[in-house]
Amino acid sequence: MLRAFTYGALIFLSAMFILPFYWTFITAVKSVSELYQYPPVFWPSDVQWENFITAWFKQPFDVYFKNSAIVVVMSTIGQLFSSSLVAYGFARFHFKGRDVIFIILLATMMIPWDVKMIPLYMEFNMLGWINTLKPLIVPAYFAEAFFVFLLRQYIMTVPIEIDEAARMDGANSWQIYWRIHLPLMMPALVLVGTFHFMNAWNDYLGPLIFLNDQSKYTLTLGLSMFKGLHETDITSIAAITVLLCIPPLILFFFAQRYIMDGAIGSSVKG
Amino acid sequence: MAGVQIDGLEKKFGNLRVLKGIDLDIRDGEFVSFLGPSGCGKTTLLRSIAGLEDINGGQVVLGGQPISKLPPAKRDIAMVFQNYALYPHMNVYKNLSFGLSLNGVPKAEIEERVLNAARILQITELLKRRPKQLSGGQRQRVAIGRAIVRDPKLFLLDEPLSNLDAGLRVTMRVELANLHKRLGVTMIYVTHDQVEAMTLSDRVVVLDQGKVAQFGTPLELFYAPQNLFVASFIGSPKMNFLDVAAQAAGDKQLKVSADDLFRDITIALETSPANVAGPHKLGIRPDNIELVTQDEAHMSGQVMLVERLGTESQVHIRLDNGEDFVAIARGTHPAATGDHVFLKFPAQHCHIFNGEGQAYPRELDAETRSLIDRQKSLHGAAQKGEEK
Ligand SMILES: Nc1ncnc2c1ncn2[C@@H]1O[C@H](COP(=O)(O)OP(=O)(O)OP(=O)(O)O)[C@@H](O)[C@H]1O
Ligand SMILES: [Mg+2]
Repeated sequence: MLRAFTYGALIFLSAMFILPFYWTFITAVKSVSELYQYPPVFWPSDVQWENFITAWFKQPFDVYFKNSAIVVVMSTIGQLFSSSLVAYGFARFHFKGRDVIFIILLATMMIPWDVKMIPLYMEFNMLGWINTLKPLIVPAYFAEAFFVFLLRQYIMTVPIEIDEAARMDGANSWQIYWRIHLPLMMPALVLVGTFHFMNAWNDYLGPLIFLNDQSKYTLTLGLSMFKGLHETDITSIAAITVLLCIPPLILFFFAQRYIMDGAIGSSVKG
Repeated sequence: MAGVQIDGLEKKFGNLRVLKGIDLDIRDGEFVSFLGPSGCGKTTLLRSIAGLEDINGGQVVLGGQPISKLPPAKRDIAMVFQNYALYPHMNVYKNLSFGLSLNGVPKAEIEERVLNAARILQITELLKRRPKQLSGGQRQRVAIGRAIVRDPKLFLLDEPLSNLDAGLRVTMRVELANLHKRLGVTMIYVTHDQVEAMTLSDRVVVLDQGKVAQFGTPLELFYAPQNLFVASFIGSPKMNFLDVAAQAAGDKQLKVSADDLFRDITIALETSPANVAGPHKLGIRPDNIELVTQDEAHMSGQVMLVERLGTESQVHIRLDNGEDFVAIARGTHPAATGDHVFLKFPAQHCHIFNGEGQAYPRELDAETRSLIDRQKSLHGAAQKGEEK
C-alpha cells in the first residue's frame, strides 16, 4: 500500500518535471495548424521531423555551433586546469595570509554577475576583446571560487603522507600535482567539468554583452534571434532548444557513470 | 650503505621545542629503533632526517655527507610511512616504479628492480592490483618494496607495523629482521612498542621529551639503564622505586638505607661514587623481588591482588609505607589477596639513582656482562661481514 503510494508520488513528480520538456519537444515537431490549436494538442497527429532541419538552416547555426564549441571546450579545459591548480595551492602550500586570501576568494562567490557586468565590459573593451570569443574563454583560466573550494576539499581528504612519499620518491611540487592529485581528483574534476560545461553552454548574458557580429554568435544568441520584434518563430525556438539539450544530456550520461564509479576516488587509507 | 651522524639537532614547532639537541652516531648497516612514549618526538626526529621537516639547528650527516640542506629526494633515503601512503590510483607495479621513472631510470632496469623487490617481498602476483585490493599486510609489503627498489643508503620506518593485527605483526617483525639481514642497509625504526624495539634492534634510542635518554643495546637498556626514565620505561611490569638515602661504603660500594627498610642494602658499583648527598631512589624490577620470610626481608606489605598468568604470578603489594609494588613470583606461588608478605631486594639486582635521576653504573654479574658484550660484538661482526 505504502509502496503503491510511493510509486504514485514518484511518477506524479516525474511527470511534473518531464512535462515542460515534453511540451517543448512536441512543439518542435508540430505542424503550424496544430501549434495554435485550442485546446492544446498533447499528441500531435502530424509529426514533422523536418522542422529541426528547417530551423537549423534558417540561421547560420553551423557557425554558432562552432563558436559555442570553441567557447565551451576551451573554457572547460581552462577551468579544470586553473581551478585544480589553485585548489592544490590552497590545500598543500603554507604561505603568509593563505587563509585570508582563501576567504576573500570565497567571498567573490557572493558578488552577482550582474554587478561585475559593466566593469568587465570596460575591462575587455580596454583590452580590445569586445566582439571576440576571448571574454568568454579567458576568465575560465583564472579559476572559479566555487570549483576551487570543491577541489580543495577533495585534495584535503588525501593524506599528506602521499605527497610526502612522492616527494621522497623524487617528485617536485608540479609532479605531485600532475601525477598524484590530478588523477586522484578525477571524479571531482568530472563534476566541475560538467558544471562548467553546462554554464558555458547555456550562457546567454555573456555572449549577448560581449559579441556584436552574427558571425561571432553562440547557439544561445542565435536561438534568441528567432524572437523578432513582431513575430516569434515558436517552432524553430523549440526545435533548436531540443537540439541544444542533446550535448549536455550526453555529457551527463557519461559523467554520471564516471562519478558513480567509486573505483577511482577515495580508498586512500586502509 | 652508510652510517648516520646527528649533531645537536634542534626542531621547534612555533615556540614548542620538540627536539632539544639530539646527538646520535648510528653505524653503517645498523638497525636502530627510536623508542619512547607518545609525543616524545620520534616521528619528528625521523622526518627531520628524511628532510620532510626543516630543522632549526644542528646537522645530519649520512655516509660522511652533510644532508641537512638537501631536499628529501636528494638524500638517498627511503621512508616507509605508518599509513603506507601508497598511491591509490596506481597499481602495485606503478607504485614501486614511480620513483625510479621520475628519476629517469631506463625501463628495462626499472622492471628488473621492481621484479626483484617483488620477489624478495613475495608480492609478484600482486603487481597488477590497486592498493585498495590488498590486505593490510600486503600493503605493508608494497610500502617496503617502494623503499627497496630505490636501493637507498638509509631506510626510515615510522611505526610500520602499528596498523596490523597482532599475529601479522609478529610475522612481519620476523620478515623485517630477515630483510635487514639480507639487505645489510642501515635502518631506523620508530616504534612505541618495547618488544619490537628490543627484538629487532641492534641498538635502541630511548627518547624522552625531545632528548636522548639513552642509546644502547637492548640488554644495556634493561640491565644498565642510565637514568630513571629509561629504567621505568623499559621492562614490563615497570620497575619499582623507593625513596632512600645513600652513603659511600668502601671501595666501589654504596650503602642504601631508609627508615622503611628493615636492613641496609650494599650495592656494588663500577666506580666509586663522588657525591652521595641528597635523596636517592632505589629501583628493583618485579621479577627480582623475592618473597621470603621475615628474617631475610627488607620490607613487608599486604597483597592487594594476584594476577595468575600461568608461568608466573604478578603480585601487587601495598608496602607498609604506602607505596605500591609489583613482584613476580612463580606461577604456583600461594600468595593470596590480604596476605601479609615479606620482600627481599637482592643487592645485585638493585639499581640506584641520584637526585637528578641519573643512575650509578652498577657492577653487573659476569653472566649479564658477557651477554651485553656479546650483543655489542655480534653487530660488529655482522658489519665486518657486510663490508667484505
Ligand atoms: N606539525 C606540527 N605542528 C606542531 N606541533 C607538532 C607537529 N608535529 C608534531 N608536533 C608536536 O611535536 C611533539 C612530538 O611529536 P611527534 O609526532 O614527533 O611524537 P611521536 O614521538 O612520534 O609520538 P607518537 O608515538 O604519538 O607518534 C608533540 O608534542 C606534537 O604535538
Ligand atoms: Mg609518531
